[in-house]
This record gives sequence, structure tokens and C-alpha cells, in this order.
Amino acid sequence: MSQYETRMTLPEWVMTHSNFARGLDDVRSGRPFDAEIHDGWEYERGRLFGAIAPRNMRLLTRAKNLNPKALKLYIAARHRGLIL
Amino acid sequence: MRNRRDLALISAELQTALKNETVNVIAIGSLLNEAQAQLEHGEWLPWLKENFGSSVKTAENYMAAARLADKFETVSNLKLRPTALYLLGRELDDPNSWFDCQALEAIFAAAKTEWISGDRAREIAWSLLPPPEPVNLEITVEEGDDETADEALLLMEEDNDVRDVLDGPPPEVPPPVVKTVHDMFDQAVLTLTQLQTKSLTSFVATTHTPDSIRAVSVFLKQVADAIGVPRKKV
Repeated sequence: MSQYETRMTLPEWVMTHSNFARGLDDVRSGRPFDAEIHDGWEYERGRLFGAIAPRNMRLLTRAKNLNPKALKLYIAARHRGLIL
Repeated sequence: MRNRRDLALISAELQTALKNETVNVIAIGSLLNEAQAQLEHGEWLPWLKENFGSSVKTAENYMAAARLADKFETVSNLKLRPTALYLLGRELDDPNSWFDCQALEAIFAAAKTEWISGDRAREIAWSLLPPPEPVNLEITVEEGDDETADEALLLMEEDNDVRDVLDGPPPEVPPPVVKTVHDMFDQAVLTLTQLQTKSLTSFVATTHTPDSIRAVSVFLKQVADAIGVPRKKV
């Protein structure tokens, strides 16, 4: 079986994917892992981020931009290997 | 061979049952909101335990749905699944929510023609967001410096706020909610209650045997008889 083709991605793309927000929301709401989600990488990353980030840390600002603090934390967590 | 009912008829009844579910969620939430407003501090949870049966979280979802319906009267006429009502109700309560009028309008417009779940509502709202712009993290790499962008990102780990979070305790998140047999039973009874008003002919094509249905009715009777009877000490 051949390796699935990989592609470059940016933290901004990961964090603005709707599944990332859903994973984060699910963890913060106590919902169990949803194995039915397609394109589940971002969902899993969102769940992992929810297990790290303070609960009051918003993903988006009121102006609907990515929260720079959340992005900073995500990148640092990724470099520590806490989020793949 | 058992008679098969027309799919169009099944579909029509399904639409009615789903619509009733939405209306019931809002009605239950409205009653809970009304009750909570009359109760003093400390009385709410015991009252809920005695009168509601399901979890506090479930009650909060119903109540959020009712507040949404209070604010937008057309909600009960739309094809919004309970999960969408809960999500939108919670977002409505959140002063920092990014679900704005534009997102709500798009979700409500879609719910005129298709059933919208919580996930679908979130997808619609996200689809309206502008593409992400590069975020200024105030990190500069001097020209000629060998530091790669990755190394620059590593420097951010030294940021005090980030380090405090990563080295500190994890956030308190609620344990995963497990659907209890209590919740499943309540849902099943609710569904049967809604179906009671239908003609018996609607159900004769069921795939369940008469014996299995009679066994369920015996079980329901036993549960009904057990309610209010003090538990025996083990």
C-alpha cells in the first residue's frame, strides 16, 4: 500500500478549520471523541488543544480573527510534541 | 410477506416527528426557565433532580434552546435539530460569541429547506469567515541570520504566558458525558409518547414481532409499577 500523499499546512489553516473548532468545543463540553468525523486530523488537533489551552481562551476574537494568543500557544505546544 | 408502507408516507411522518422533537425541546426548556426563575438560590438543582431526571447539562441545553426560541420566534418553524438549538442557544448566551447576525441568518435560511444539526450549523458559520490572514506574532528574524523560521517559532516557547500554560496544570474540562440507560429510557418513552397520537395502521408494518412488542410493554409496565416504590436494601 502506498503512502498517503502529504501536504504542507500552516497553523493558521489548521486552527481555522471547522473541525478544529468542533474538537475544541467537544472537549470543553465533555463530549466523547467522535470517530465519525471525516478529515479528522483537525478534529483531533482541536481536542488536543482543548486539553492544553485555558478554558477561557477563545479561538477567535470578536472581530473573527484568529486569536494570536491561541495561535502562539498552539505553535509552542506543537514544538513540544503535545500536538502532532 | 409483510406489507411495505409507502416511503413518501414514512418520510412525511418522519418530518412531523422531527418537528415535534424540536417543538418539545423548546417547550421543555421554556418550562425549565420558568421554574428556575421562581426558585431561590440552592433550590434549583434539587428541584431539577426531582422533576427532570436527566443531567444538569441536558437541562441547560434545553433552556438555551428555549432562550433562542424566545429571541427568534421563527426558530420553532425551522428545520433545526436539537443539537443546533443547543449550540445556537449557547452561542447566544456568550457575549464573546463570533456567531453574528450574518451567521444566524445563513443558518436560519438553510434550515428552511434542510435539517440542520449542530455540526452543520457550525460548518455554515465557519464558511462565512474570511480566509485567515497572517498573524503578527512579533517575531523578527534578522536578515543574514541563520535562524530558520522554525527556530524563530521555538523562541516563542520562551514566552512567559505560553510557558506558564504549558508547564502549568491542564485546564479543567468536564469528563466525557456517557449516555446513561436512564437517558436512553427517557428518550425512548418520549418518542413513544409522541407516536401514541398516530393511527395504529402506521405501525403494523413494523419489523418487530408481536411477541417482542408485548415483551416491551410488560417491561414498561414493570418500570411504571416500580416508580415510587421504595428500593429494597441490599
